[in-house]
Amino acid sequence: MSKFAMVINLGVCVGCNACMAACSMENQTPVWDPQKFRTYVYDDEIQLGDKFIRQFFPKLCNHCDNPPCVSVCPTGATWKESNGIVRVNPETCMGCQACAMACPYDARYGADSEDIRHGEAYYGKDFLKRAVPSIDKCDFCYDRLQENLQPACVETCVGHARIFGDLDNPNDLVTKIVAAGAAHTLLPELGTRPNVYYVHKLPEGLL
Amino acid sequence: MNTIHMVTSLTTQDRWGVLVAAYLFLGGLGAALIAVSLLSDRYFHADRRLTLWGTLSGEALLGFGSALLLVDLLHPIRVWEILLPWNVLFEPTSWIAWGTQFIVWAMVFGLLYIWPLLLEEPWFRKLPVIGSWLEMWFELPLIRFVGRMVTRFRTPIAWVAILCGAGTAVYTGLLLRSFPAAALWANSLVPPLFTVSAFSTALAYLLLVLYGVLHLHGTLARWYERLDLMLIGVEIVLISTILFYILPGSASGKASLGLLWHSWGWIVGFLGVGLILPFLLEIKGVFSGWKRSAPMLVTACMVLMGGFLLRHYFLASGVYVFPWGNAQHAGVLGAGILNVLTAN
Repeated sequence: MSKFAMVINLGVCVGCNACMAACSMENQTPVWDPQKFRTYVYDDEIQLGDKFIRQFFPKLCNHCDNPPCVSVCPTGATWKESNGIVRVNPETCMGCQACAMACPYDARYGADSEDIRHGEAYYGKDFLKRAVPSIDKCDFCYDRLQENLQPACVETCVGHARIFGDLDNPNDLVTKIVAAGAAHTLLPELGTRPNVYYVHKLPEGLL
Repeated sequence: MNTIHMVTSLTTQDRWGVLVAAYLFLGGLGAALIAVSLLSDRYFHADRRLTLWGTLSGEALLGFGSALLLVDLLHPIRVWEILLPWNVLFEPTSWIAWGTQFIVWAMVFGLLYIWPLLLEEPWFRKLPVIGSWLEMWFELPLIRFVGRMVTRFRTPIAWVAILCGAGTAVYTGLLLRSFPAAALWANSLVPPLFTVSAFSTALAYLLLVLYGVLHLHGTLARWYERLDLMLIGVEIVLISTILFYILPGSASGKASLGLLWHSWGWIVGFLGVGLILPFLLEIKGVFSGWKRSAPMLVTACMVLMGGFLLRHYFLASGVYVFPWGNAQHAGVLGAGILNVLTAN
């Protein structure tokens, strides 16, 4: 059994947004709306004393082990796979957006009827992956994983800032980074137990 | 040493707007109306017209509130799935799943309970256009049979409706309680607060009917006034505890407090006109009475307005604390709180 997770190395993210572009094209997200992305790279300026740090901060669904989005869903349209991936079935989602309200990571957006119409023109009606309005979010490119490919954002990352792996495999780099205690999760105080980890520098000896 | 610097941004939600606030208000009010009306009829021998007014209003408000929620859905046609009674067996952790069942069965059993009263109510037969049709329809053997059966099982039917009505009122608070990121919602006093508010608004509505429509100033009206006064008192305690004890303990809560204390609609509209003033007016009404109905009617309207404003401001003032800056939301309040996470 696998348990998929991602480590994001903030120290090498250069903010090129290639991950956002790759994700958008792979998953046909509504790129015409700047608030609707499966993954987003924030551009933060942080003041530390008299110094300013510019840091890019990629964000995506954290695929929590205790996902509040799953427990609030009234139709079962969002669920957690045994491999740890939290998914959404657009066919059974009624779009109440309770999951988006429950998500502490702002990782979900609503694709409405207008987005579907826009998508037909933008991505081509014959190639459209989304036919009905629903909530949408990152699923670690589930279709690509079935073909033993990496998620699109990982594959395209020029700085190798995104590392995807299997926490059930002790030899996986992601497992080693997490086991080394160098990685942080976001908002751990909420008890969601995310599977997306952040580091500023990979622990020495792991590369 | 592995240090991560993070900027924290504060953001309000922009997904659930005034339609959902209206749904939470009308749902709580309508369900509590059904529960209080049936309790009053069953155990306090309320006037038949009050039972009909209360229950039918509750049905209408619940139906209208639910319709508002439907409008807000991205894909409303899919709602049929959560209407199926066994849906809660598959989604037992979802309060929307439970709430939908509470609403449906409160409406069904509420209507069943007043069925015999409706059949005997001459007012419906006098309605223009549909009155004659209703008279014919009411005489159908099946309709009469349902009426007889309901009369026979009145108490269990009443209790199913009462419990589902109370469940709906509680659910409106539990729904917000299940969103963990905003301190304003994710605290255990929200469900009791919304429940108390729902029953308080229901009593205010029934007082409006008693004083303004039926002109009945009897014992039941007195009890409603006393009960409403107590509920508003409890609501003040709950609100105070949330504002002064729970919210100051977190960044999200403090940001919500900042929003609430800068909103005239919250301070004057809800706290002043919708809560404190009705409390004082009802103290005067309960202890020394009113010579006319007008103050009671005005007080009831204030309580109803307060009930809506409470839900509106609770929805609008929940604040997420995101661990990044420059959030892309319309509801960005600010950024700049620095977190430094360090691991060896």
